[in-house]
Amino acid sequence: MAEYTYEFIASYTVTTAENNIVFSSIPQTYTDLVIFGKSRITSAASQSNIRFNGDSSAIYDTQALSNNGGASITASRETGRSQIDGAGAIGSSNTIGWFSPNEYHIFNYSDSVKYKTTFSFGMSSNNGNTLDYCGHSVGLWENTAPITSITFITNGTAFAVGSGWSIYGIKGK
Amino acid sequence: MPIGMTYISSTTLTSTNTAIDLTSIPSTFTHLYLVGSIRGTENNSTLALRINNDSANNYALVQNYSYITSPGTGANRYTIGSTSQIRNNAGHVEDTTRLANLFGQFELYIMDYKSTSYKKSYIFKAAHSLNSSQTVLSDAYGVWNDASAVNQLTIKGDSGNNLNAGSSVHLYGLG
Repeated sequence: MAEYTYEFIASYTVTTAENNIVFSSIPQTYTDLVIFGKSRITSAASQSNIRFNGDSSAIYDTQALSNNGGASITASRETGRSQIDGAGAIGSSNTIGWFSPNEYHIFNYSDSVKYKTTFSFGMSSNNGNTLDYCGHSVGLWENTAPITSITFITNGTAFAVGSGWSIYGIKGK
Repeated sequence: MPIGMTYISSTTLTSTNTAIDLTSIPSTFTHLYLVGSIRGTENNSTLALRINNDSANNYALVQNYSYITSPGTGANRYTIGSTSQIRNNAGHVEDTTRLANLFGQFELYIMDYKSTSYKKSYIFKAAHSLNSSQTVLSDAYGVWNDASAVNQLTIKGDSGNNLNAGSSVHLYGLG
């Protein structure tokens, strides 16, 4: 009978504000990847985006369900991007010590035939003791190459100290 | 050395109770993962959760949800000072008029739960079916405005109603 589990691969915590954080040499021994972490930006609220294998060409797409200010849910789509517009990140105007929770699923990452698809979950805000946005999205990287590196990118200034992520692999035995 | 997902504990209510209380959570992992199935004893209640038995208004959240009428979608939020618990519009089947043997389900992630430097952020997803044609689901995101390490989780109804026998939770650590 198959058994499934999460196995730790790598983790990183920001100790000096930085952008373009790379997890490299990801082992090809699993079928899917799951990432948990938290993020905060040193500028206004933004996102914790992800890029695969250092590929910055415009072949990433994202579709999301989210809300703004606890109001109605809206759908949005981003195509031809240079990264997957992923989970949200807390901005510098939110209460000190607050972070967005980040959750990502990357499916069939070691496969060499399928385009790579993702789920992302998180929130973002830049508003004191108030949270303004949350939602989840699906992402697509139009490339069949196995994923060997993941780069966390914000379109804000940088990830703040304390931001960080842990990567886990899932496989059948 | 981190190893991945590790089972910590399970609790199943054998009789009606006010809450499921998980105490003495070890500080040996990076993140916490809690999954459960819950049924309550009263109508018009929602799933709620407290950290470290903190009943002050120290929780903030924002959530998306669908509801049974039409069906439709909605969203809401709570700022610090307005709620004394993590809430979710789904995941908790009210008992009095619902199908027997039906439980809501939820999963909760608390990131960097043992940190004593940062406030705790969480993702709280839930759903429940009221009958054969009506289902509610929600994903909530928020912050517990406290930098203490998390050592206790209390799963309850938001208005203090009881949980039914058979309600259960399973706690895992992600190292």
